[in-house]
Amino acid sequence: MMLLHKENVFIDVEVNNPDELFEKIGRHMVNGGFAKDSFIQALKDRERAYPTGLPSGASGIALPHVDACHVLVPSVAVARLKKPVQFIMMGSDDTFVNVGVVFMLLLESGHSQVEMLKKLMGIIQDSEFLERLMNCAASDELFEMLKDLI
Amino acid sequence: MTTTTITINNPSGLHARPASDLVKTASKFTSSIFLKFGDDEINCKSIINILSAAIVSGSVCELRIDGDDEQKALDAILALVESNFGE
Repeated sequence: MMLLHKENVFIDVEVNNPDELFEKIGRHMVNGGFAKDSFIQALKDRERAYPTGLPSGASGIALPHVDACHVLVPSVAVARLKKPVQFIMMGSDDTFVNVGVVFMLLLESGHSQVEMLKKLMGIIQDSEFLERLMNCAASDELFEMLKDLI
Repeated sequence: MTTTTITINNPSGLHARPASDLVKTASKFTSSIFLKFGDDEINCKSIINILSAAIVSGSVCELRIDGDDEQKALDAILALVESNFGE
């Protein structure tokens, strides 16, 4: 299944904190018919309970996601941020990560999340790839880099 | 060192939330805590290690704990696994 769509890949997203990001990109996914109205609040609640920031070489990344009940069409949104935003690190209560790229996961329940997370771990541990991703000049270029990997 | 075999039985496997719980539990102890899963040696204090392994439901792993507080760590991790990570 094609999870990544060109219209859900963004560069230079300007937000000041995770909640603003969830409102901006979450709203886009709701309006695009990929998620239910409950999606945005669910993102905020989940990130507070189970943060998703991950440190990496070129830039920290975050993997916000929600339970499958808020998802209409399984998909992934990618947002490269104009300036990094602080997320709390996954598996911690109070360690901050400066996040430059966000992979928002709209997935079905079952094995799909585990498999997607493995793919994303491959991406974030490839510092050369991540460096190129950070330097893409246009969202189309970012999409082309990721479309066969996600 | 203590070694035991565990089976991951929560329906969605070790995705982000249960992996976070595992890291948080393992990080409370000074012992080294590893899961052997196939050819992978997974450090249970590393979220990226755990997520890279893609441990799906039904996976059988060997849990190896080594250190001064290994018995307490073993009890805590077995309790988490047996609770199916709250799922």
